[in-house]
Amino acid sequence: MVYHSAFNSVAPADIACGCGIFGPEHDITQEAIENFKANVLVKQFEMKGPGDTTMVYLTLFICKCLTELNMKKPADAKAAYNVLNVLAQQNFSAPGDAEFVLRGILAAPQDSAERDRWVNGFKMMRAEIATKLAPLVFDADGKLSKWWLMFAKYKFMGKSL
Amino acid sequence: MSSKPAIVIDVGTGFTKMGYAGTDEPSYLIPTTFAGNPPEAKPGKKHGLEDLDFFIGQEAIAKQKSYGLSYPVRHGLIENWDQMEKFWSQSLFQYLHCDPEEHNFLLTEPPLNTPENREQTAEIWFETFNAGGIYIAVQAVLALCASWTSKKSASRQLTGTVIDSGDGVTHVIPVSDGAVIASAIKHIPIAGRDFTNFTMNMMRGREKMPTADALQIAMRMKERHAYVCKDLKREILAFDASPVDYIKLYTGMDRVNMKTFEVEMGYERFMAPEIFFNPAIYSGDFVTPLPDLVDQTIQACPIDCRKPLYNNIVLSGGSTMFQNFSKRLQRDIKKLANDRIKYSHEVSGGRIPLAELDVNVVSHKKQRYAVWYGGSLLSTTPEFGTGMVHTREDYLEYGPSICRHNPVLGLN
Repeated sequence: MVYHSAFNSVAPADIACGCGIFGPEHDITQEAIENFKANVLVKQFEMKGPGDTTMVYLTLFICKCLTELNMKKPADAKAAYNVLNVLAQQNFSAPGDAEFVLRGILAAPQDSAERDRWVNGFKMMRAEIATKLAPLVFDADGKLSKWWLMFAKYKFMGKSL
Repeated sequence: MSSKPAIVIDVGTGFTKMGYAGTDEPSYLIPTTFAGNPPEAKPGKKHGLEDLDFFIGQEAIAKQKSYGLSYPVRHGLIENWDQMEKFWSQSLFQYLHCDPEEHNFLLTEPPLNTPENREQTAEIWFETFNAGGIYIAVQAVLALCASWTSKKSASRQLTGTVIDSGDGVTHVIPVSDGAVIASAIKHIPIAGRDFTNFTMNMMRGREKMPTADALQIAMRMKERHAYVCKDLKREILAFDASPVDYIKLYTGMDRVNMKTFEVEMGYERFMAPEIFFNPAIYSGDFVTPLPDLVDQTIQACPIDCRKPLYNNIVLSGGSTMFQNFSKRLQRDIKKLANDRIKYSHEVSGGRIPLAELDVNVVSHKKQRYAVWYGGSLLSTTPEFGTGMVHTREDYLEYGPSICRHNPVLGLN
């Protein structure tokens, strides 16, 4: 079995395009990072609630972060944070866009207001992941850990952002 | 005639186990491979000895570049009878060094083997090798016999669910009173080879390994260090918290540039066997976990067999040797079965009583060669030589059809 979000039955602060945007008391980004290595190998993931839909996107984003780290190879946690922050702040496609990777899996927004809420919510979550992930990928010796970078080449659900 | 011991030969998809009855372990363990020159390879240059120009086992693998390597047994069933006959003949004369006329042979067959296959086997053994007697046993029943050596087995019974996981394929086979319930058998296309591939791919994606030996290294690391964890996510977090407690090192010599190299085995240690419980991490096609399949198998059996089938789940084969495998399997199957009982209790408004099912996964020291060991036990019982085995005299009088039926007698 795969690891579903614990927040599927919790009422999120906001829902946009089927994705739950949770407040600080439900740390969905931390959960996405903890579930990442267990879930990234699977090709099919059944989404059981708003927590899962958000977690799916965040898992893909973590993959993208690892690919970026593998390319740029920052020297320490601070440099890693800079690399990942740049990535997080980049323009990214949203549900409903033609090139959105999760087309058909995430519902398209009803109106531009919903799209904005989605983009804002996920911009915050992307930045949070950059902050949390940067120190994690370094091992005790201060080098980039192969135990994280090895997952850069796996494509969760066969897709990559 | 039977002052000489019987010989037990268990031919599997990956490996063949051979030895004399009464011993604890097979004397010979060779890969089920065949290498022989195809007849059209050397036209015009016939010297009358082509028939003898073949290799089996490890020699076949060593010679695979000049001769073609083939696997006569696929999914447990014999596919190439000509090669199989040669394989048997070299096993008898080169490995076992025995005179077939003086021995009874216990051979094994996979589930769903056809009676025609048994007849053909009988023909080869009686006509070509002049065997003294043969008996063709069902692998699952032998696995049940082998499980009697476990402390958990209170009584010697021939009812149980056999989970036979070898190199090529895994079977879940329910057996009731020595007879296989054929309609409920399940095949799982995940077995030893897949764990090795998974381990190899994961390690190669991270470590620098010489390409030529990658498969061998992965196989050795898997057999030495892989184990089943209680919960994948928790294990990963425990690993990340303290990797040094989990990483295993392998040091080897690269044969190409003659330098030593080191590779580390990390997540693969518990992720590879986890494929049993979570096939989605390895294959996109097959996603049902093993505990679910065992549960479905037993539910497909007649209702009066089910309790004893849950009570005696027996493991056999090399791929069931992972540490903690039986404990995890028992826990998962128990949860599935008890959840169902709880659900029917609730849905019936309490009319169906809430009872806890006794699920028992039996693991024992002879698991790796359980089928062979069961054969060794069976062929040393007094009834084997007199009541069970088909003798050459019977064959000459009645023909190969006698071997269609192999009775399972008096093992209690």
